[in-house]
Amino acid sequence: MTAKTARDVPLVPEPTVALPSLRSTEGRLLWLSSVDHKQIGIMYILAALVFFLIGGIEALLMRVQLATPNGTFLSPQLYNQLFTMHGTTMVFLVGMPLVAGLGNYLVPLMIGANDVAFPRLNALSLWTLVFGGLLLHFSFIAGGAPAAGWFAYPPLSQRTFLSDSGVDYWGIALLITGIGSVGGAINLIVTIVTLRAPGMTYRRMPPFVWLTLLTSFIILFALPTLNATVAMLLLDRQLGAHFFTPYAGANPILYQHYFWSFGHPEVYILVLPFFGIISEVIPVFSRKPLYGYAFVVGSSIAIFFYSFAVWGHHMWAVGMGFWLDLFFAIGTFLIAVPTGVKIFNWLATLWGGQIRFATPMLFALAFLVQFTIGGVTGVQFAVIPFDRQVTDTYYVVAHLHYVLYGGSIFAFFAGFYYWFPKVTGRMFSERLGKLTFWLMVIGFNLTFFIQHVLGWVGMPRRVYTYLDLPGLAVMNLISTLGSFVLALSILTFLVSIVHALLRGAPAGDNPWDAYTLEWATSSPPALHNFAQVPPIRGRRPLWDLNHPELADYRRAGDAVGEGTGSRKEARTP
Amino acid sequence: MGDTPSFDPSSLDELVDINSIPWSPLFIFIMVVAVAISLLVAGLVAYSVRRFRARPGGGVPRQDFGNRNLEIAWTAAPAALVIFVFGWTFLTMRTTPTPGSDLPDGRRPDIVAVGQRWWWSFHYPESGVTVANEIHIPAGRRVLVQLTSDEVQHNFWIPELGQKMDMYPGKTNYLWLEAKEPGIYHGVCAEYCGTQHAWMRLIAVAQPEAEYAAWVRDQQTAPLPVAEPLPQLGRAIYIARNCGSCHAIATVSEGQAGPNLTHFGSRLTISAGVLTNTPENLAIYLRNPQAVKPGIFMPNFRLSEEEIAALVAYLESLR
Ligand code: HEC
Ligand SMILES: [Cu+2]
Repeated sequence: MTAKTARDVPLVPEPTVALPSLRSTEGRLLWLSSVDHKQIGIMYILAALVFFLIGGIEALLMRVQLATPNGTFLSPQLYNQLFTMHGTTMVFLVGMPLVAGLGNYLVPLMIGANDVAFPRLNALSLWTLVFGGLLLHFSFIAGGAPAAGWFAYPPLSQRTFLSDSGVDYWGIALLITGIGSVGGAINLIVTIVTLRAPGMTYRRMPPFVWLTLLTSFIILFALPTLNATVAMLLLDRQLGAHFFTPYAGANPILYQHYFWSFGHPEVYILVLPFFGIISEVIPVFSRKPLYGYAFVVGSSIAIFFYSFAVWGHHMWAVGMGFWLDLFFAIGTFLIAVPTGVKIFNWLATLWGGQIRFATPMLFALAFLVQFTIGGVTGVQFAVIPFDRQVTDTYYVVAHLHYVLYGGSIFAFFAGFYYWFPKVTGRMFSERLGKLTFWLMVIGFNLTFFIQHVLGWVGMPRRVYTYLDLPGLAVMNLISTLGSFVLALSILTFLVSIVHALLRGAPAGDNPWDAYTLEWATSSPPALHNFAQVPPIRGRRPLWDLNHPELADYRRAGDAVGEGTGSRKEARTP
Repeated sequence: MGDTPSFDPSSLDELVDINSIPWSPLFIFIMVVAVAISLLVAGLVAYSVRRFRARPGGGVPRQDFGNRNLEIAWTAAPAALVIFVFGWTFLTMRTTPTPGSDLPDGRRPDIVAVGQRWWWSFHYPESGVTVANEIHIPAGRRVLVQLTSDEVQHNFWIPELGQKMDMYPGKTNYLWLEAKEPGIYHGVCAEYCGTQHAWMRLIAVAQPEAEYAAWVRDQQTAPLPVAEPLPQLGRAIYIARNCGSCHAIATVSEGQAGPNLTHFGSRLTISAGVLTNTPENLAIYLRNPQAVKPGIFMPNFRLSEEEIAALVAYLESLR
């Protein structure tokens, strides 16, 4: 054995291809050390999918336990850990990285940039997320996962009541991933503000970019609140501080205000980028432009502001007092409007179109209906007496899954299948895609629709078992069966990916005849994205390029004020 | 903030019937609207899917970028709808007695409920009665419940009798309860409170006034000592095993860490709903409470079968 010198250690070579092979050590090193926005985006999404499988398995275990009354499949302690981990995982390790990953991959391509503004910060954000996620799951073998619920209310989350280290892991993991999220948000904001190609004015930005921009601002303002709150909780637990300890005279309800003043904006973080996906997919597959671009963007700006003023609607059972309760009701009613009008915009986009039913479009259509259901039950909560009836029950569980699964995750799958040919250069099998879609629609609705009824008849959430009251057993069994259909759809999804990677036909640059710049480059995009950015004279540069006779900028009396008169146009590369 | 419009107790009967809240016109209205909107969207999607399906040779559809008037209209319509529902909510709240943190003027609570991990203790200040896990209320009369908690957060909810309200250590909330008809009503703890949150249930027994008054009198008197030898032995074991360090039985022990057992024999369930109260079930429970309701603060005493039989006879005699 000769001593190794620094020279013998393989250095990471400069990347030469967009997607280095995983077969060689060098290729794998290139991925690990990557500062390329596309690779980082892909890794974000892969990490999210891995955590999605973990969180999904946690959910399935819970559904097995609840399939019959007085189930003994899981101990109460384990069940409580599982629902805590399921919620935490799905919000922080699936939702957040999906948002970050989609933004990372797509935003530079969509605005005609070569990379994000701070590639190294980007890599740091990714790896903090992965590390935070691993740390959280390490708690399982380090004495027990957290069991305080994903919002970890004190006093229960104090050391006095949960003395093992689970909640500590939870707090530290959230701090770490929170830092990554803020870094990612700053990166995307700066990228969008400074790196747009000539001609890509704010008013021409694809809706997905707009919504990612707004989401990033929400992250920037909301996540620090969470981090500060979690830090206080950890100080209470570790150093005996008394931020939230009632026996030392502190008010634990303060924590709820802190938490939800992050938590409600968080809901919009987990929804707005997916509105962006829908606003890309529906127009392309209807062969029309997005109906009312300015309304979609403008209403999202309204959501951005409102989202910080409605957190109290998570707290109507607290006893905040009449007027404070009412204050939060007003905001909650009002925020429904800018959220709701988007549904009409998307419906109007469908109207009169030439709708192609490829897999991405199917997911987008299911999104429309399911998100609406989640939305209307959301507004119902603003009727405070109604909220006091259904809050903390399965009605809420049903509602939030209609919003975040039936809405966001369905939109994610729409986007996944839509951009898959771009990212990998391969087409997926439509048959597998459609099979996945139908299994998922059936499984999802079977699992969650009945939960509205469960909540209405009085089944509280977060119970490891329930009394055999009339109807409960049947409804829970239906829900459990549904969850297995849903799990099956995830399997066919994975099969469809593997199948496409191995057998998929080459996709070509623009298989969907789509509108935005990412479709101008090769599939997969070259290392530095574009050899040349096509001229940007409107919101749909590729449509203009491919349909010159119908180009947006030719429209007389341009109603949206786009396509004419920008000085930047002259500087087309 | 916080100054609730005060509720004049004498006019309570004119207030909205809390018992019927789940079926109040407001709730029915928002349910109908929710279903209608969902069906409208689903219908429009279904229609578009059939009507605007891409057909070979369909050509390029008209490139429609939007219509300002239409968009203003469909923004204004939902806005008007939510403002209307908000107004209705406001009026309902003014007339619906859910006092939350504010004690209605001039009222004293009829029942003081304290959430424990994972059971309930109830005290009737008027009559001095203390019970656990099961309350009795007069049917047709509205009772005011004061809610607090011992250590962690809980939430008091009897779906058919009223709304739910949180219970905190160091904070008091109030809630009205009313049962229109005599009967047995199931309630739960609705805020996650740790290991045995699922089995933190309660029962409200609503009785006609006269029956209720009799129940109160019963509760005020300690159960008569039973003469048979087995309950007598049970009582001795109860004392010898120090059960009284956690449990109270009038004239026998005064422990506070566990449910009051003074009239345990008359209760419908064991340990906040985990078992129905029968001698067989109580024996199962005492054999190992941790197997029945894992994680609770009632230890397994590894009692012998003889001890268990005697304790069961004693506890079930406490009516
Ligand atoms: C360390 C305190 C403690 C001791 C000692 C103790 N218990 Fe308990 N017991 C509890 C607690 C706490 C509960 C409530 C458990 C729950 O439901 O969460 C309970 C519940 C019960 C119940 C059910 C009460 C109800 O309202 O349904 C019975 C019966 C009971 N104990 C009997 C006994 C007997 C008999 C002994 C002595 C052999 C005993 N306990 C000793 C703490 C104690
Ligand atoms: Cu509780």
